[in-house]
Amino acid sequence: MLWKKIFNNVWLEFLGRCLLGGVFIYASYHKIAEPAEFAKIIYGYKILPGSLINFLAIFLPFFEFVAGFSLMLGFFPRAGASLINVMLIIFITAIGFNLLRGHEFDCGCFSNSADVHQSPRYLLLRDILYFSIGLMILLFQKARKFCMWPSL
Amino acid sequence: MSLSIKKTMVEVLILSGLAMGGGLIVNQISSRGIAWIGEWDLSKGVVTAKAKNDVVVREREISLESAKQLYETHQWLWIDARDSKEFNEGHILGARSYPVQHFLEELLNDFTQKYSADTGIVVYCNGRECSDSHELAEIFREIGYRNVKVFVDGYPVWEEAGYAVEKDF
Repeated sequence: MLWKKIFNNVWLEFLGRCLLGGVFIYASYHKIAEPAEFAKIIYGYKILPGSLINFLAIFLPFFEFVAGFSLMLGFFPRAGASLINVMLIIFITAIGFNLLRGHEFDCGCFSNSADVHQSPRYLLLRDILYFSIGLMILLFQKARKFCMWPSL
Repeated sequence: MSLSIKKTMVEVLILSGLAMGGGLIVNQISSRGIAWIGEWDLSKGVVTAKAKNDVVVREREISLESAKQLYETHQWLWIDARDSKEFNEGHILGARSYPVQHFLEELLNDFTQKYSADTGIVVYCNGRECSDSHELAEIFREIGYRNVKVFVDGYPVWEEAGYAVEKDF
C-alpha cells in the first residue's frame, strides 16, 4: 500500500525527524529566554488556572527542546516523537477550544511578540501537519538513518 | 503490554526527567527566572509572572477612583506609555505621550529637561493585562523620579467611565 511505503521510507523518516526536531528546538528558544513573556502568552489563552501557568511556562519549553534534540540526534526518537505528539494534541485542543468560543489570543509558538498574529485555522492545520510527521516517526518500523541511540 | 511499548515508555520517562531537570535548573540560575506561582488575578492589579527582573510593584498601583482624585488636583503629570498610534486614537486629557519602547533611546533627554525630579507622575497604558506602565514607572524611578504612580485600569476604563479624554483625528 502507498501509505505504508511512504511511512517506511528511511529518508523521509530522517527528513521528518530533522524538520520536526528543528521546529521544536527553534520554538523553545524564545520561551526559555523569556519565561515571563511566555507565561503571559499562556495566560492569554484563558484556559489554565493561574496556579498552573508558571509551572507550564517553566517546563514546557524544555520538553520542546529535549524532544526536538532527541529527534535530531536520534536519541530515543520514538520517545521524542511521542512527547511531541502529546504536546501537539494539547496545542491543537487549546487552539481549537479558543477558535470555537471566539476568543482572540496570541499563539506564542515561535515568538513572544504580540505583533506576530496568525489565524487560528492556519495554526490548527500546521499543528495537524506536524502531528502527522510525528506519527510517521513514531510508527516507523525499519532501521533509522543517522541515529545515535535508536532505543534502549 | 508489548516489550517495545514498555521500552518507549521508559525512554519517555528519561527524556521527561531531562526536560524537568533542565527547566528546574535554568529557572533557578537564570536572572529572568520566574516564581512557581504568578499573580494572574486581575482584581489584585496588573498581572505578572513574578520574574526575578519583574517591574510590577504593587505599592505604585492606583485604581480608577484614586486616579480620578489625583487628576482633579491638577498637580500630577500624566504619562501615556502606549505607542503613538494608540495615543493618537485617544488618551486622557492633558496626558503626554512617552511610549516605553522608545523612551530610553529617543525620549529620555527630552523628558528630563522638561520635568524636574520632584514631579509627581501617573503612568498608564491599556489596563491590568498591560505592564508597559510599570516598565516606564521603573525607568522613571531609576533616573531619579521618586513620586511615581501607576494607574492600573488604564485608558479603556477611564474612557468607559466617561472621564475627560482627547482624540486626535
